[in-house]
Amino acid sequence: MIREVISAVSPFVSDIIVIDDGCSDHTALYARDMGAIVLSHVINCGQGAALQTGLDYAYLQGADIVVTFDADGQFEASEIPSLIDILIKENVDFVKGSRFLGKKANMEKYRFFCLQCAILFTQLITGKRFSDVHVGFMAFSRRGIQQIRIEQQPRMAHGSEILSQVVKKKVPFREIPITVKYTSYSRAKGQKFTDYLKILRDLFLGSFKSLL
Amino acid sequence: MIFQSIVGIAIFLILGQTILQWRRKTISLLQASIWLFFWILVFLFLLYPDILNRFADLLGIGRGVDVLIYLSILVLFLLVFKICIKLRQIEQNITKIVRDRAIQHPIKKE
Repeated sequence: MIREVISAVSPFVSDIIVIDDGCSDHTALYARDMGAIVLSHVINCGQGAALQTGLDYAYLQGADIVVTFDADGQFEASEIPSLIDILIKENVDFVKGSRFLGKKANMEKYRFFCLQCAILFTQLITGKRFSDVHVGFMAFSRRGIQQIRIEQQPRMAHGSEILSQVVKKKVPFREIPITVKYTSYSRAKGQKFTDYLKILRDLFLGSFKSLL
Repeated sequence: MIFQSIVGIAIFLILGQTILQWRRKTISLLQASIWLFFWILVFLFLLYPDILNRFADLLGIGRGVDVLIYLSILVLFLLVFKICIKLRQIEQNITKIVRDRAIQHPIKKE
C-alpha cells in the first residue's frame, strides 16, 4: 500500500516523509527504497504523535509548506496542488480537507454518525463549527507549523486538538472539499467507536491534569 | 474474634513491610509515616470499634463500619484517579523520547 501512495504523491511534492509508528511489517523499508525519508517510532505512539514528529522534522529541515497525507490510500494525490494553491493565494497558514463540502463519499451510516458527533464535539470545545474534523489531509505553512502544536500526543485526540489550537491562536485557515475513497483497507484502519471514547477520556484527563 | 485476629495479624505484617521498605529506601520517610499512621489507626478501630461508632454518630451515619467503607471508597477513587494521570504523564514522556529518537535518526536511501 505504502508504495502506491508514495508513487502517487511524489509528482506533486519535493520531499516525502513517512512516519513509521511502530509498524511491524516492511513499510519503513519499502518507503525508504522508494526514496522517502522515514522517521521510525520504536513503539506505537498514535497518529497525533506521528503527525507532530513529521511536522517537527519538516520544520527543522526548513520546509515552507507541509502537506499531511494518510498512507492508507484514501486521499487523492492530485488534490495536493489545490490545497497548496489556497495556502499561497489566500495567504492562510492552515488548509484542511473536508469530506462534507464536496460530493458525498460512499460512507457507512454509522461512520457518518460518529463523524457528526466528532464535529459537534469539536464545535463545543472550540466554539466554531467545522464542516469536517479528523481528516488527515491538511496543509501547513511554516508559520502554521510554528503555531499549531499537538500536545496531547498519545492516541487520537489530535483531530480536535489541532482545530482548537487553530481557533485559539487565530491561525488563518480555509476548508476545501476533498475526495475520500473508502476502500476495505482504509475502513479497517479508520476510527472505531471505541476510539471516540478514548478521545473523550484523553481530553477529560488532560483537563484535570493541572488539578493533581 | 476470629475476624479481628486475622485482620490484626495482617496489619502487623503490613506495618513490618512498611518499615522494611522504608529502611531499604524504596519509600520516603513521609510516605512511611503516612502508611504507618493509617494502619495504626485501622488497628485502633479494630480494638475499640466504639471510637468509630461515636465518630459515625457525629457525622450522622448509622454504623461505624459504614464510615470506614465510605472513606475507603473515597480514598481508593482518588488513588485510582492519581494513578491514571500519572500513567498518562509517563505515556507522554515515552512519546517524547520516541519522537526525539525518530527525528534524530531519519532513515534515508544511501
